[in-house]
Amino acid sequence: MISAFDQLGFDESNTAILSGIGCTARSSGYLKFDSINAIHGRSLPIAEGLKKVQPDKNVVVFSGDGDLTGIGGNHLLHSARRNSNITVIMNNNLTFGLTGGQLSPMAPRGTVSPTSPKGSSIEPVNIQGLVASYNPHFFSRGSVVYPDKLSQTIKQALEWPHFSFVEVVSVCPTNYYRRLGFKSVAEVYQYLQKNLKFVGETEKLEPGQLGIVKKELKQKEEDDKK
Amino acid sequence: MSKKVYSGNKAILKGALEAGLNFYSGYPITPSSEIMEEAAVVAGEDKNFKFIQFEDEIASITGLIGASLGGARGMTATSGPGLSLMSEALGLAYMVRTPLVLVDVQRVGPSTGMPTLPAQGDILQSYHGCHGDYSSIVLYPSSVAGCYQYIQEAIYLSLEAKQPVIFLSDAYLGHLRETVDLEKNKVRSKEIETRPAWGNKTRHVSGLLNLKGTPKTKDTQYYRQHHQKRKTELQKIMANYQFYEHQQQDTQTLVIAYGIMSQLVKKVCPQASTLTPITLFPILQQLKEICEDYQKIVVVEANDGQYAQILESHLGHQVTKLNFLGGKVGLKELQTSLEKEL
Repeated sequence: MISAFDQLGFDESNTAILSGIGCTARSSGYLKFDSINAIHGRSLPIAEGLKKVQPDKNVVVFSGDGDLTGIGGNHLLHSARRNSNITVIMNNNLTFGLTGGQLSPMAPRGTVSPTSPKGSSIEPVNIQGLVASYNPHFFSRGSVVYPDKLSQTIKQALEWPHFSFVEVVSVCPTNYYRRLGFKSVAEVYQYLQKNLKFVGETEKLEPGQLGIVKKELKQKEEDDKK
Repeated sequence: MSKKVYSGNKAILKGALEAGLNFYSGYPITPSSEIMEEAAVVAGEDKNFKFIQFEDEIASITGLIGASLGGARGMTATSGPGLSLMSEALGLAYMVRTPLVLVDVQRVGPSTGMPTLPAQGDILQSYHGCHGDYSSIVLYPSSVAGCYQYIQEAIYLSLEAKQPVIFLSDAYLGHLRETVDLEKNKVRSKEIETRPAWGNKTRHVSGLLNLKGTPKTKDTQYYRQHHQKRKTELQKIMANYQFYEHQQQDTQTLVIAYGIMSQLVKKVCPQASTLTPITLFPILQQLKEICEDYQKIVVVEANDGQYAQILESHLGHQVTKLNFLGGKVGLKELQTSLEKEL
């Protein structure tokens, strides 16, 4: 994210970072920007309020899967609909890491966790389906195991003039992969590198695929919206 | 012509604009919705006035926090159920020191209750609706002109104290129409030193207890100092925001009533000595002293004795409670009960 910021000239003079609560959400405090580590799930409406009064500012939400799709899911539904120029970077580690590895709404069916000891029987949230149901839309998926390409994906999302969403396939070795029998972080990285595939720009990203799904407004629609 | 006939709800929005309101976010709820509708009209006419209809009350207040961090003078309005939803974010606004005004036009609760009928049942929640220890600021006018005047004070006060202010009204006052003298009820605009808005700065704010952005989540001593410092600072600021009306008659009994109940008490018992606190919390600094001049204190309110409880612990003795639970209050009933106590 920071390398994408550098390339685009996003710095502390023009950018704000907003996050909710969780392991990922703490990162707003590690960065030298106007930033807030707010309450659980509410970074999106805070971002929209800020963007409304400071439209020239780059407003970036950086939070986790539990924060954005669980407790903050309602805001995601509506922020994508209002389509203001905000970029959401969701670090998806498939778990509630900070509270000890409970079931995340992004965890796949069958996930064993302290709150689903016999394996979850529920499908994860379909964020791609949600974001891509609006026109225009920008949904992308990258991974921490391919940092250079992830940075390129984030850069494109930041340049998108409407609501954009980046799902970052991430890892929580302690509270997620350890339960699946992985012995080390390196083992998790190797597993993900083997199983994630780049497909570039596409109509729909299948599980395990990294790339971008986007639709721009045609000039006429753009004019009508104004 | 400086005189206008406004409803309480309309007077709140008009007064807020007078004090420089330039942002409104909200979610419709009876009996407060006219405030939001008025704000939407202003947003349609004035490009510098920003407006967002959010998906719920949680988003409304957190959006307001974002706008406030961005330098806006913002407000939201709701009723009881919305106040409940906003409670967690009120704590955040307190922690990150964002000025904002939350208007609660009270209705009968709990839950959906009786949405169109008035009550004063949100006193304790507005006093201490968040978890944890903090100091709340609550104002509650007793007339439409008061709505116009004191919402201006509420905005200035939130800027000065750098924290949320809850502005109470009720379904009766919200829809009551009275004449407002815009000149007489205008508050002299105040130059207040506000915290700089976000922009060209590197300022991290957090709901975690922190010192200049660095978490202090294991430092009990710092927590206690932080709490005390905020409390002392607020007491100092509140010295300029002591709003009340004291109507003295030759009586040994003082009737304390606020909001719409104060108007009703004065109407049915003009011979009574009355105290109408408009600054409900922190409790009026002069309250104890005023009460000492009377032998008997009667508290009239449209709830089960919420403010009276607090006053009793503040005064250190019992008061006589005349509680008229929310809903319709009969003037005759009020008069008979009051006359028995005088």
